[in-house]
Amino acid sequence: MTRRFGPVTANDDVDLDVHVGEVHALLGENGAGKSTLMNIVFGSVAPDAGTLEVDGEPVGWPTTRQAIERGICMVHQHLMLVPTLTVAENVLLSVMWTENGRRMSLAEASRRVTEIGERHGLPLDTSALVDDLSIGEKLRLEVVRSLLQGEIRGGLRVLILDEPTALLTRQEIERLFTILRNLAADGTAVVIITHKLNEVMEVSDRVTILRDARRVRTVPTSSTSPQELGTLMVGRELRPRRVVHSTPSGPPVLDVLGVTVADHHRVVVDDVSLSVRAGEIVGVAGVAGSGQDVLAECITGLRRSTSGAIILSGRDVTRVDRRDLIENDVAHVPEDRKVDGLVGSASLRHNFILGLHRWDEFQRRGWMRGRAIDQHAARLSGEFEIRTRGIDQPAQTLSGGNQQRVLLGRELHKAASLIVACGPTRGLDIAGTEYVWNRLVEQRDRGAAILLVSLDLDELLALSDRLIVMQGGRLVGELPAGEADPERLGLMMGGSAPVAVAS
Amino acid sequence: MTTGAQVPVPPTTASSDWRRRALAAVSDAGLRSRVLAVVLALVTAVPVVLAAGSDPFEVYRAMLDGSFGSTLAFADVLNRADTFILLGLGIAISIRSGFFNVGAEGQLWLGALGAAVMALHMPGPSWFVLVAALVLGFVFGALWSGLVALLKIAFGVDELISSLMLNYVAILLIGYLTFGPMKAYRAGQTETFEDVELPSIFGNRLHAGFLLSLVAVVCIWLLLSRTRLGYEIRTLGASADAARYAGIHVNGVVMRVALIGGGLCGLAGANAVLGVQHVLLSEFSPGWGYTAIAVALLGGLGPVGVLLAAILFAALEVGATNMQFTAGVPASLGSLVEGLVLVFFLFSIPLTLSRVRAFLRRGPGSAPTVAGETD
Ligand SMILES: Nc1ncnc2c1ncn2[C@@H]1O[C@H](COP(=O)(O)OP(=O)(O)OP(=O)(O)O)[C@@H](O)[C@H]1O
Ligand SMILES: [Mg+2]
Repeated sequence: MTRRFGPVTANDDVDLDVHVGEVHALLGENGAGKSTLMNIVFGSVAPDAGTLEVDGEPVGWPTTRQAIERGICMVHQHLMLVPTLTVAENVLLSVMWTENGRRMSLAEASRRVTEIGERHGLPLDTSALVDDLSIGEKLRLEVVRSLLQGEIRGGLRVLILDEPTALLTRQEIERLFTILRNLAADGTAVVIITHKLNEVMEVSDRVTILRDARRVRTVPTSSTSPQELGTLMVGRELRPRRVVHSTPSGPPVLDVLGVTVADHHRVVVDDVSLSVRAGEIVGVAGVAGSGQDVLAECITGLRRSTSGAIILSGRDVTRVDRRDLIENDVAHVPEDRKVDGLVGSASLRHNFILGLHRWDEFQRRGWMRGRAIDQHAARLSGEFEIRTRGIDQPAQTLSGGNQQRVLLGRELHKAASLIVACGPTRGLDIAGTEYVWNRLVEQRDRGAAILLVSLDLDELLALSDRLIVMQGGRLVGELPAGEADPERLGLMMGGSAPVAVAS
Repeated sequence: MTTGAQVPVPPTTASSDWRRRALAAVSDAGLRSRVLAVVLALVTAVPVVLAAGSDPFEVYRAMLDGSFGSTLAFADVLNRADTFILLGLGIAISIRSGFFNVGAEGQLWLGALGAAVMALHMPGPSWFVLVAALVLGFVFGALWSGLVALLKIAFGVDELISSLMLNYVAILLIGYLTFGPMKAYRAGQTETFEDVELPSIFGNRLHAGFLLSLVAVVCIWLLLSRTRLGYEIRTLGASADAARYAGIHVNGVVMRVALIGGGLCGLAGANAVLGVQHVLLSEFSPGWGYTAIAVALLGGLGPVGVLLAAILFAALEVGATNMQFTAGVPASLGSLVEGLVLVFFLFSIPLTLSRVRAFLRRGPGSAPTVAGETD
């Protein structure tokens, strides 16, 4: 397959074969062309050259509908759901007909979703609005939808998942992997894209590595090692990083005092108090939807708490306008970059100053300073090694990881006293993750207070000087870096461990 | 995003999302689809002309002669275009911010009313009255659309509905005034105000309204592309969530856009009564405010595009009038073509070139959806 986007070649004569009954991992740096390749298979991107065969039969360039009819389903990197519809309605949108050509009813869609959910351990509330689901639940919905589509077409032939694990906690990932292996055993070919080498080792039977739009190699997983994969992917050897934890003695920058948030009369954050000192990274662990994202929204002024106070550097900011916060004191890497942090249709130039656009550097008396903005955008593109054809490129045409880099570049540029980072390395490749981690540690050493909200325990353990655990909107425990390990955290997140002593 | 204890925002963000996307498609569509739409519209009108028993070549020649055929004709076109330009700009800037105001018609009528009130009652030298009339026209239009914004901000009323309703209120209000308190010797119109007139320029061919609309084009272009407010408008128009994330005061931007956009539509009304009609009639506008929505869309919601689209529509109307005289086909053919242009344009948006190619290669149903977004 070959596909070009203007001057950019996303896939350059890439071959890939996926066998029945295997889990095939697709590995590569940000912008290597993984999503493009899978979109071609799924029929949502047309290749410039190449052929596609299913069961040995050439299929030309399919459309997404033909792909689904052939039992090829895809869970995209950015989920494709209608937020204002319910779970069942979303399924109905893409599964209009039943096996025997009858129109599917909402009740039936709902029933079958529940049924598949039970069979595979993917429970879903079919009448919930998608907007109200956590990201993990949305992913679950996409998987169930694919399964149902497959079921109706008489069997799921190929299931493609584009970076699904970026959204999930450890337990959820393990559950997903079990499902994938079961599917493979039942005769589905599974393709999974991920940046985490340990996940590749864990779940896949074979791995294909892409680099700079070309295929480097396909190898059986059992005959390779994470080190070798890393080297193949990046083109050089990766050194494991070590973060030195700090024991800060600086003054508290952020104090959260008894914050409670009620949403539709449901308490989503329940009397949470915490504090983050200058020069400290505090990690927030918890399964998706434990209230950590809502708490982050409160701290950054996107949402008002129902009660409680938030103190930033000695100033009560509970009711302060978000503009005041983000312009100077607070950097915010939001959970869902596609919704909040970036304007997809706008250029990089536009996105690099989003939220900073009132800085004197970028405007004077209401007039934007084009030259300064361009320089700023060009500099950050370079600094964060963003693969782009220029600062005019619309953000949504960047690869997922590169979009994340735009967001991080802008937020870390602020030199804020508080950084609230939600899943900052979501979708980043190994080198990118390492780079961001280093930048966060650098910011910490500079004296920033960092609140790190992440579902990725490895990330939390690597970076946090102190960890707090949330469950069901409540703060259920606190651990210094030295005492935390994945098992213990996992148990606390699930609410089945004795509550640890707050330090 | 769930609602609840969060900072109050206009509650329509989710429901207007699809509108935003549709309009992004409109503004991204290339020049090719616009030209294609015009050509297809002219071709599709041919059977109608034939059915009316006329020769299409002759008809289109007459149309062309009557619009671009001579300096005089072209000056007529430009004089007609100014209303569409001002209205189109007012609509474009509103829509660009995600404020789906279809109240241009009402704002136009109110602007005309404001200008008429000043022209009839303001003492002083005529240049002064003229300026005051233009200003009051702007202000009336701005307030009319400001009311829509206020309803949206304070009560979450969908602007699409309230602005449309207010159009009827405006028209009926002026009907009442011209048949009642402001009635002249004849019912349905006010006294005339011949002496308060927009000056002519370029040897009396053009009246200053066209110049005024050109100035507005430049101002809106500067506003959108060079100012902080323009940045905020574009951000809000693309994504309400991103605007909130960026700390933009969404309600403030909506209100300012409503005032500016409504003001421009009001100015269009003032310009029309002061430049051409010199009287306020109960049948002041044949629906220019609606036609101008088509102008704004065809113009891709950008100032320069609006200028060109407005000239095209004005040429169709002026040309059609000429055609009626020379070829004997009703001038409503012009409106027919206008409508067809819009229909074809909207249809042509999803018809990207690659789809057309795929279609030609393999027949219908097999064209790949070219993903607008990557993952
Ligand atoms: N619609 C598009 N327009 C322009 N360029 C595009 C488009 N889609 C993809 N590209 C470019 O193609 C290249 C490959 O993108 P792709 O999304 O396949 O990368 P990826 O391997 O999935 O990366 P990531 O790990 O960051 O998701 C990138 O440089 C990207 O900018
Ligand atoms: Mg990708």
